[in-house]
Amino acid sequence: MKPAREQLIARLSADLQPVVKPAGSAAVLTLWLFGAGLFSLVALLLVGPFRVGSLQQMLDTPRFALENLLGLATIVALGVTGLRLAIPSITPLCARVTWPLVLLAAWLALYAYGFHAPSLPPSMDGKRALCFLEAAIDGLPALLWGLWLARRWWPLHGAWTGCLLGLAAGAMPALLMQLACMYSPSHIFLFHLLPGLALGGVGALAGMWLLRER
Amino acid sequence: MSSDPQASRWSADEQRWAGWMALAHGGDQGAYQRLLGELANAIETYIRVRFGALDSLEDCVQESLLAIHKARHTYDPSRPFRPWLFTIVRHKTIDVLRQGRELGGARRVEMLDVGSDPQELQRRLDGVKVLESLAPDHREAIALTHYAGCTSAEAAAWLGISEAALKARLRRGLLSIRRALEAEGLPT
Repeated sequence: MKPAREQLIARLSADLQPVVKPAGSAAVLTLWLFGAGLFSLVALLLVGPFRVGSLQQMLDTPRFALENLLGLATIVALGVTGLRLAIPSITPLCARVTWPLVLLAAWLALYAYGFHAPSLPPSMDGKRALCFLEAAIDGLPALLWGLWLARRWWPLHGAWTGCLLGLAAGAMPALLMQLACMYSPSHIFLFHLLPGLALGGVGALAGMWLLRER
Repeated sequence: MSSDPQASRWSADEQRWAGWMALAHGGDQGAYQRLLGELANAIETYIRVRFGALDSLEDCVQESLLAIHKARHTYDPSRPFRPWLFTIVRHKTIDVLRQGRELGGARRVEMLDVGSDPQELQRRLDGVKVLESLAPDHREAIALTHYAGCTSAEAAAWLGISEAALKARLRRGLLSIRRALEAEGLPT
């Protein structure tokens, strides 16, 4: 073996520290999802109460429940894939990001269908004064936490990692707004989904900068 | 039991490497040293098969070893080792080529001699798998800078184009190589 290579291997072996917990474990992913969701919930409750009767509406209206369940599945898919992108894998990038984006598209399509036939009667009940700001800001801590985790691992696609984490983090308050704020398809798109999902762009930019290739 | 000797060897490598990495996670320096020693040879073979007599072969091997060391906590012992390993190697190799480190001293003089001898250069390029799929413009740019040891300015002058145009060709060529390596999946 070449002497320089041999020296490098000896140096790296001498530098070896035990790995306490491998990155990307299910426990860490679950903790991020629960932590981020809990933060959004608490932040919303601190500003104001949820819409009266929103939980009952979920039980009474299957399509409204489906909207929320699909949103939850989308958030889990985006978050898990975003964090897993920071673990080296032979699977091509497009194959890894397709399914969470398809779920996101399906979720948005369900709301778009609501313009034609809303799942609940549009109403101003429960309107929050600054819901668009809450939707935009409440996801930021989760995004930063996710980027911090990804940075400690080995991200190979910084922009995509940041984008998916931003979409997941922004979709959390946007989803909770369905229960906390007024229900009207145009209001949902403009004031809940758009500001929340804009975090995907913020995440992509932050990821390009913070998660540059090692 | 598999009758293919190569498949049996890969399977044995996989088990041995995964086992050593699991021990290294526990802090076993001996296992880690043996692992890095074997990986260095495997990485060199991987790069040689695909890139031929690349100027920066040794840089690619050492950078890959360094990356494996830094990323070792991202290996999950319950998952296969080879996909994890070769993803890192693929990225580091492209990364080293993209940075386009220029050669120095005697090695550079030797490379320039090769650059002035088209037959020798052609011999070096024969059978280089990753270049076969490239567009002629991209292949020329990569051959001159990474196999003939030319600087960007020298290669641009040789091809009669601006340095910016050469760098654009290099960038696109490396992107094509990256895609080709990704499409290859797990190395065979």
